[in-house]
Amino acid sequence: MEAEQSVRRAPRAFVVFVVAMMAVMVFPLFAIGNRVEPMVLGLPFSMAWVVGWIMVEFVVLVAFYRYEHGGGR
Amino acid sequence: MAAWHIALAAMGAYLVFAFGLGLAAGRGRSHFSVSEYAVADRGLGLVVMWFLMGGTIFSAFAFLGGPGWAYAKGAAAFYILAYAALGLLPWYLIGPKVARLGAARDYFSMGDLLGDRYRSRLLVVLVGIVSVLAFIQYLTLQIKGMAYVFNVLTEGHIPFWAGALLAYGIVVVYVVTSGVRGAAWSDVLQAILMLVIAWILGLYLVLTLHGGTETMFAAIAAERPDFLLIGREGSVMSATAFSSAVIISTIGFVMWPHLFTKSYTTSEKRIKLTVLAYPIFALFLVPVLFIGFAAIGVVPPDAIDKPDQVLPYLITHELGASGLVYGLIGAGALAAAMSSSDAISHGASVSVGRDIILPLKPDMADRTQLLVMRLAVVAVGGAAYYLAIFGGEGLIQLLLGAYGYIIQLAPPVYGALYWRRATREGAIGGLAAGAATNAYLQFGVEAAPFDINPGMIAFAANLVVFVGLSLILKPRAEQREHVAGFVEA
Repeated sequence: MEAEQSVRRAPRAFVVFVVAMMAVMVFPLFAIGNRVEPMVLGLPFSMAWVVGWIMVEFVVLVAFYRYEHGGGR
Repeated sequence: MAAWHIALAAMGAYLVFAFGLGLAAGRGRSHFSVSEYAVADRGLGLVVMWFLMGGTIFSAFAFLGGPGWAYAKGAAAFYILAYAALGLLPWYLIGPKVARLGAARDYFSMGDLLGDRYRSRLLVVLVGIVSVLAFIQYLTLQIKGMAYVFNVLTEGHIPFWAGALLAYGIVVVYVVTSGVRGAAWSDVLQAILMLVIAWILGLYLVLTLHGGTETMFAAIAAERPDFLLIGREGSVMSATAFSSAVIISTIGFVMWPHLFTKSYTTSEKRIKLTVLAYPIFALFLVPVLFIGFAAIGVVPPDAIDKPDQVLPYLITHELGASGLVYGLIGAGALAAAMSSSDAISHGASVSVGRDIILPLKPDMADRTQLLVMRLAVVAVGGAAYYLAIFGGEGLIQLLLGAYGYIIQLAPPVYGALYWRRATREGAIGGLAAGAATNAYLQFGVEAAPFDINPGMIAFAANLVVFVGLSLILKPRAEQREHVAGFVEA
């Protein structure tokens, strides 16, 4: 189990992240993105809102993984 | 040679290839080991894992239902993106924990874990029954998708029952012989095929029919200003319906019991990498929605009976009568449906064997267990096939109905892993209350109150009973150490 112990974990921060991701996808926060104009990269703003947050999600996940398992952990 | 002959030949070629790959995956492995059948001796690589998980989401629902939703419900289809992106997130935390427990205590199914934690065989059987009910609904959805593809793309020459039997029959055979490895390797092929076809099709249709996404969306917004929004006067989906559907799917997604079985196949790092790569799958769904949006103003609403038919309609009316195109798209759609149904069939068979039959007859030998699981693939598949061909429900009702049951597993699972005071009585009572409420709301009343997803209301009932009973009953002192083994794992 030695390899296991060297893993840094950040479960609390991750829970906050999951809740935040969920919050921007549902009301009331979704209301901010719930409009057609301005169009972003050819998408209505409501769709770009969802797609944009998915990209943010990916970046944050990479950051979590690098924190926990970076440096050959 | 008519176009449908070529289409049939192309789909046939695909089926033969998928069949061969599924069978080959199990070669050289023991056909008589429960561990190999259920969890590939706990050694699947990252790429295969990723596709195995991705295949589950890229189902017939995404490929046929996605365009249908975008076409008929507009912004409501963003729900599909949100759920694909959020669904697997909690797995980053509980997946590694589940995998550690599974490796240390030799689990094969979700019921193994819950039965061990709560020390209750009744609970295991309940979990098994709830899972199999949900699995059957989900499988029915996929089989309908396969039958549909065959029927439309061969211009009605292959009847519903025959198309479903052919495509799903192949799945059953390679799952029975190759176990989880068969499902995993065919998923790699199927996911790649499906992704390539979805992107080419989505972008091609937008460009040829509208000149670009911006002009397409601008035209839709000019015609129906609220269609691309949620919860406005002219929107198709209300704010509460959208929000509760996203929440129920996010909680429910990681409760599919086959996910537990799959996580026993791999390591903590691989589980985390799978979660990490998952949002990319959600982004891959974007062109699938374009297909549906592109159909607005092109496909007259009265030309099709159901929105799910919008993709086949576009193919047959807008892409010319090229048999090869039909065949390729048919293969992509079949891939979508088959990659989900092999994972689900496999998961259901493990649930039946480990969670329903084994607790009732604990002295089964390994070989008998394996035989039961293999028979279960055929039995569960047969039930789903019957429902698909003779049952009446639509694609979306089936999906949400299945989630309504699956989400009921969340309180006992999270309780098992994180809450020391969670008790057996609470878990059993909550699960029973939740499943019963869900069934009542699905079949007993006209519409769920406040437009909230029925599964969500049932989930609330479940949670109240689970937490209430657990708090009232004193935790058994002699179990403290046992419980700590799970919470601290």
